[in-house]
Amino acid sequence: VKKTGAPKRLAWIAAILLTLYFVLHLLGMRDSVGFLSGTLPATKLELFLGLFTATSWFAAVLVAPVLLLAAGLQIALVTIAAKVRARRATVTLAADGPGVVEPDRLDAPIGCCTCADRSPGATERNWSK
Amino acid sequence: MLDSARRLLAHSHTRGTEPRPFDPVPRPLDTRPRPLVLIVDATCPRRAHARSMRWKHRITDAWLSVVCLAVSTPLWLAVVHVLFVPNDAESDGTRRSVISDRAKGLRDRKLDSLERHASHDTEVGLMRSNNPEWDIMCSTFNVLAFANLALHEPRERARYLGLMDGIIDETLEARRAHGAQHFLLPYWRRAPYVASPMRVLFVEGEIAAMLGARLVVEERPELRSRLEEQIARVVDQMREGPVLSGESYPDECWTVDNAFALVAIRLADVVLGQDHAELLARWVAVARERLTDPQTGMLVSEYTWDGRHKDGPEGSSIFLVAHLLQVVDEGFARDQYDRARQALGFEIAGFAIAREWPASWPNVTDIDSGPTIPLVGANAGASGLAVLAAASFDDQRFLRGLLASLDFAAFPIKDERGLRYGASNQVGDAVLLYALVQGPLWDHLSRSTSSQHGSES
Repeated sequence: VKKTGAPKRLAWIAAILLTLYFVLHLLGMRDSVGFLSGTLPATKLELFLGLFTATSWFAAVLVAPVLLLAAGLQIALVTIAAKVRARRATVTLAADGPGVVEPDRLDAPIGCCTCADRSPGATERNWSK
Repeated sequence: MLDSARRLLAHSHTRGTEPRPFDPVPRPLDTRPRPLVLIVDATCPRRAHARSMRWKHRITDAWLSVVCLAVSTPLWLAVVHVLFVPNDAESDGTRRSVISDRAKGLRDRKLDSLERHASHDTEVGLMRSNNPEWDIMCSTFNVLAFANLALHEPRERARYLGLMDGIIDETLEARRAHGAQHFLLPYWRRAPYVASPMRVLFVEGEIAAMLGARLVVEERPELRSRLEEQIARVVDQMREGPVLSGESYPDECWTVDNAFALVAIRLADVVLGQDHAELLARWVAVARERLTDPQTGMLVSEYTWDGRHKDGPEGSSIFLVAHLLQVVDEGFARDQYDRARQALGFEIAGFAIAREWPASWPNVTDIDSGPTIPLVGANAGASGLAVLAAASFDDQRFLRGLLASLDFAAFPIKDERGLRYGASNQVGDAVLLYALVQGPLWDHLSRSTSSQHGSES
């Protein structure tokens, strides 16, 4: 989550959609959506603003909450998964005792300390290249 | 247990010669020289590996996001209607003595607009530039709404009567000065009317309905004689037609215009003490036989003077026709409403909409009904008039769904002047106000019919 920030991005998009509609609402743009009833607006600009306002409203009501929900759900899933992994690792270590744990049974970075190569001697191999 | 795990992890992070807990044999001391320059290019295997891992994480995250979005979307769509569903008191307010807050808001806005002439003329001008028919339709629905409000709120009767008189006088004046064509779309010139002399049932019927509704609330002698003339014209025009219908445009009879004319005749029967029951019954019999769509059983919206169908059943027509026919033939009206509800009503996740055309008819855009939303076929005109029909037939479930859709998609605007809908116009707001206050006028007609039958027997 920290590296890619997908939930954060979803939340940001939702915030932008909500802010956009809120600004249009404050500017009184709800008046310009009369075209939905077949009433042709006086100018093309009014038609464009009406279309924009209608789109932003439906995005704010239908899309933004979905994005927020998805972000929350993703954070919850990742947090739960991390907790489960940590718990599983702890339990495995405790059961096997020190000195006999195989590195691939651990999710923690046991091999190379900077990259994710977890095979034994990864650090040495990398340094020697 | 935790301490041993932490120790293991700490060991794993130390780079160098310390024996690792998982190494079976301790390794010798590493004395090789360390690189002095950091390798930063893409050939660095460690960095390349780290980069590939980052991408793996990103792709995993993206997939997880997609899954979360796929789960969240139906969840949100299933509950979003809760934000818009009207309270019970509001939807139950129709046909009861209580006027809902929504109706009060619409009423206040109408009163403000008409009494102060604030923006009314501009809005009517804009309406006429779009469709001149909307001008008289707006007047008719306003008068019907005020007639119901006057019966709802006897204390405010004088105020509503004043407004009704103003609207009727304006309409009659426009009719006298410019002719009935003033309220027609320009294509009325395309061909001569089949029936002679040329008469426009759309205009004559709605004027008669306005006069009748006004006189039900309170007597006004000069309007009484006007209603007599108007009804005589309407009845003559309808009797002349092979299917008891009058033209609104050259060789074009519209079911909704004829239904308005029938309502006007019913109102006149009550106000003037006439009896056109035989004409009304014959019209319904002819309509059942010749003006219904064989596939859906609903009344078609448009037909020629001699009864050939020009169009199928249309949402923006049939819901209004069903409501109007309630005072002509309750059973037939109920049957039409049920069929329209079945073929055109659509409910999803707490919202309801009405389609303009049933599945058996191709989508055709009509200037009266406004744009249709693709895929679902939702139509503003049909949905607005479905509110009226659902309210008058006491279909609470459909009504609640329609009102939820109204609040969701019609952009309600509340201010100190009252309530209006951004996605609507003067006609739409008039229809909604009428839909939410209708009841007393129709009840009055029903009572009058019962008492007439009682006195006859």
